[in-house]
Amino acid sequence: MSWLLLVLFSFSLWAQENVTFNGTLLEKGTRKPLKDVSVFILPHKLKAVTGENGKFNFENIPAGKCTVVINLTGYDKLERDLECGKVQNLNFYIEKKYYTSFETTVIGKVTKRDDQGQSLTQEEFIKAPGSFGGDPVRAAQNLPGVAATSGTAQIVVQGASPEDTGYLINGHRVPLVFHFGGLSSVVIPEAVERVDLLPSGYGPEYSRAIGGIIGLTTKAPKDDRVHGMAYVDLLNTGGLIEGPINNKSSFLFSGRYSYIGQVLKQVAKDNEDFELTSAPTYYDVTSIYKLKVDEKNDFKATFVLSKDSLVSFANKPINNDPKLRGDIQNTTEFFRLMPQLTTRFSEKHKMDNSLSIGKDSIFFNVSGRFLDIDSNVISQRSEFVSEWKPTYKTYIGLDNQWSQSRVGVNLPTSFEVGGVRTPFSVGDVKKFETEASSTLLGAYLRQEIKTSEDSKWTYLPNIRVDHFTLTRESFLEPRFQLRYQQDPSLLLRGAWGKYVQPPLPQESSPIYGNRDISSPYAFHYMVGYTKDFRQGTTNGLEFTNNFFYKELKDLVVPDVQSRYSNSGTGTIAGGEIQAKFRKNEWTSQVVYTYLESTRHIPGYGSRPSEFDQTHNLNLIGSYRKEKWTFGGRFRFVSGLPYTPITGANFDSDNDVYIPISGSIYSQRFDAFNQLDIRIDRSFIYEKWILTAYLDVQNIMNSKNPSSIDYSYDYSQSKKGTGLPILPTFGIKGEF
Amino acid sequence: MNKLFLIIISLLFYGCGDDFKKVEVLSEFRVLSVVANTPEVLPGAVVNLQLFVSDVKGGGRSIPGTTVSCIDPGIAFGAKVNCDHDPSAVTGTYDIDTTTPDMTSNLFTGLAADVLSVTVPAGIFIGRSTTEQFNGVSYIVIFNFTVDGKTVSVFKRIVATNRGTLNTNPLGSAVFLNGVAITSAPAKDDNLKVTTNSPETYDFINAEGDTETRTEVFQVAWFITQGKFDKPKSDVDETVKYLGDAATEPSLVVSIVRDDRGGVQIVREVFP
Repeated sequence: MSWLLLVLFSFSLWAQENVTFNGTLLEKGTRKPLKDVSVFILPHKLKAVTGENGKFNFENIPAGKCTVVINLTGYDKLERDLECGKVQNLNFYIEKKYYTSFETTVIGKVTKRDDQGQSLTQEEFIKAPGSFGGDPVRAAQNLPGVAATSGTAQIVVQGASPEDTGYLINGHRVPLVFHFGGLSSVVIPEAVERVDLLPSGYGPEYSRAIGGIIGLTTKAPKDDRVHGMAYVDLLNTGGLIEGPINNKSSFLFSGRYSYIGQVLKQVAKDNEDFELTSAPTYYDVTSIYKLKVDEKNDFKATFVLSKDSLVSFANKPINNDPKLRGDIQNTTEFFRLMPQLTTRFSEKHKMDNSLSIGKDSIFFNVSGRFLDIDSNVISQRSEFVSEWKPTYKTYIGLDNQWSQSRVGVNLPTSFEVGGVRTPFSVGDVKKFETEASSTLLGAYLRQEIKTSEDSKWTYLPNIRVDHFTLTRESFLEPRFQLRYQQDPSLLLRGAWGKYVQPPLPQESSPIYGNRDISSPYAFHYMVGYTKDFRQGTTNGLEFTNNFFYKELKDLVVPDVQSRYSNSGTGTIAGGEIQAKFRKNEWTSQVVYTYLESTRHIPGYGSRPSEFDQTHNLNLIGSYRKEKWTFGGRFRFVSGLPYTPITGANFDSDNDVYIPISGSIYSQRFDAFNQLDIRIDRSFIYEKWILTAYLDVQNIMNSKNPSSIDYSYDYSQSKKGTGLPILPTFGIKGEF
Repeated sequence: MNKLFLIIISLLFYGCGDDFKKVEVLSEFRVLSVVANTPEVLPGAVVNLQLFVSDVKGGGRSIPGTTVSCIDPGIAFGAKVNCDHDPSAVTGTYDIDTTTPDMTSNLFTGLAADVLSVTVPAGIFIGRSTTEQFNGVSYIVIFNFTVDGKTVSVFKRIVATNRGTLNTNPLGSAVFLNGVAITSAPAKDDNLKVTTNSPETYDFINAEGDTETRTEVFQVAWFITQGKFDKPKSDVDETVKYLGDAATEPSLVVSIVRDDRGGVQIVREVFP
């Protein structure tokens, strides 16, 4: 009997056909393969684990009804009933609980070289409130030491003038990072890997900026499959596509076009004072090519093109200045092609070589008074990094720039002290055409030294040399940094260094400026610490505190006799804190900077600098709930100083009033305060993601005065308000 | 350039101080121009200056003033408008009397009767380059008045030059209303323009040291006692539109033509 039962049971097993079942596990929306994930088949209680490309395979499972179950932390649970044996090679999509915008190209954690600086990754800036749709440079205004200016996105780093800050893309200088008046930066945010802010005490790799450095780094194109993104909002439209070309190379192409001009044209339609002949517009193009040459060499080339154009007609003189009337044209255009080769000789020896070849064109014309500049610019950077020992690492580099410019000028001389400018109509008109070349040579040595492998101290005695042909000057710039890593959660740091920058072209011009002008320089001092209370988790508090002091020497200031002189000096002193707190869906940040920025000009005494903002407080918070993200930023900043105008002299020959300044920068505007909010809602489809967002700047419609308008004779005045409430609604699709 | 863009944007969004008094509307005491009989001279020459003033609501009065004359401290390069730098500065007085018949009958607007004679120093070229001597060295005359508790300060440059052919004031200016010589006050949307004789040409040593021939660029400033213009400044032959209602009481249109080199011609029309 038992024999018979055994035969029957065996027969039944034989009758239940065994099959093979396989599939691929992908993240919903991004189609990212998920590896090392357990996939269960019920009721058979069988398990498989996904491989590198998300593929999994079951063999010898009974055919018939079954249920696939996938339960991965951070993702919604998937249960799917199937007919095992009837279907094969199925794709399974599981939905992540939280998505960041442009999830398909978010890059990894940034490796920072300079502890003195701060970096924002794409993931951080793309959803930053007040960043005008994820603009990286506007988002950098959330960082400590970066001041707000109403209605613009000028970068004021720790009380320095905007022209004292260097703007870089992939380490190479560009003439501007913002389109018109700071509307948005010149590279589409989704093509940017990170933005770095180096405010004080930074390393020897950079110079020619006594204030600070803002650097954008473009991303490496994805090479797993073709990705794309397109968006449209009230001011811009743009798109990006990237993907592999073959198994060694990949590409990215992006472009953006603004139709703000059409909006302004509608606004200007009923304005009897003004006519926009041609709508102002801007566009930019960024493309990136990456090639893995061989095991040792990686090649990346980035191309950036940016153009801003405005053509208008002013019926009435602007600012009551008779010669500021009529046709007005302002065009700024530049491009850069930046090839970069990275060679890894070994695990401890690496070399980076990059070039930047480009052209800058600026044309400005007001009724026949014009400035026309065309410059060919080549810059080159090389850096050899070598870790000789675990306790000794060096970086030896070159940082050179050459430019050849053709300049056509037909403009009056200009004089401005304390923000009060001699009218355009009064200046002595100079007309000339010239060609000029300038070479900036730089070399540096950065060293990281530890006395022993387990030493908590790291010493960085660095040195840089610079030579500027225009001013025929050479500089030795010693810089020293010190790090003390008490434990993984506490880092103390200090830095000191000398920083030099060449004078602006108009300052050293023999016709408009003073050919004997020399380069201003500064000494930076900073100490600070970062304490991470998170103990290895993602929740908790991270606290940073820095103190800085800058001594500014040989500042170029206006001089009635010689037009410009090096008689200006200044100091900037302050402290900043940044407290980042995260708990599950909540992230928040408190950023506060206190500073005093003063300048001394002989004949005008010591006074606050134009960008002295004593208190600068940023409160930033965001909350994620399922497919929703809510963000907000509140800024409170001391009002900027301004110079009162006490009267005016009527210039009978030029039919214009010349203002008489009171004590320069002796008054302040009311404090700036602004609340920005941003709401994102993602819609996740299997193969793509749609995000709708609403970004409202200045939702309280604070007036934030930052300028003063005057009547023609300066006897009446009123404060000009800053940016009014400005909502931007947009949608973005990505695959 | 970004600053200019911001100014333009703010003009578009916020207007241009619409609640401010209009530059072209005459009411309070103003000096509209300083007229020199010869705007360019040789060193040592004497120049006669007269102020063209308007005091529409002044009712006729005497306004005493002071003057100070000196070598230009470099106003075009940002120097303050004063003579503190020049120990040889010359002081004087200049009185305006708007009760004279010519002023009273013309809404207290016209050339003041007082004439200030100024002697340009013979040594004004000392220490100046040949280019400066050719293009001109300015001697400034500053007039100061206190009227209704406010300080009114105005200055004029007298250009000393060895160029040879000296600048003269523009001539032949006339105001046209809708294409014909003006005879009545403008009504709403009427078009006005100024015609004048041809501008002069003159030699100038440019920044590169070359001598070039330039042509004067005329500019017209418009004034009125009622209403307003679509633009208060225009080129010669450029049409300006009157935007106010037709005048119901005596009114005045003034156009001042400047030649960009200190020369000036004034046309005053009073209606009815």
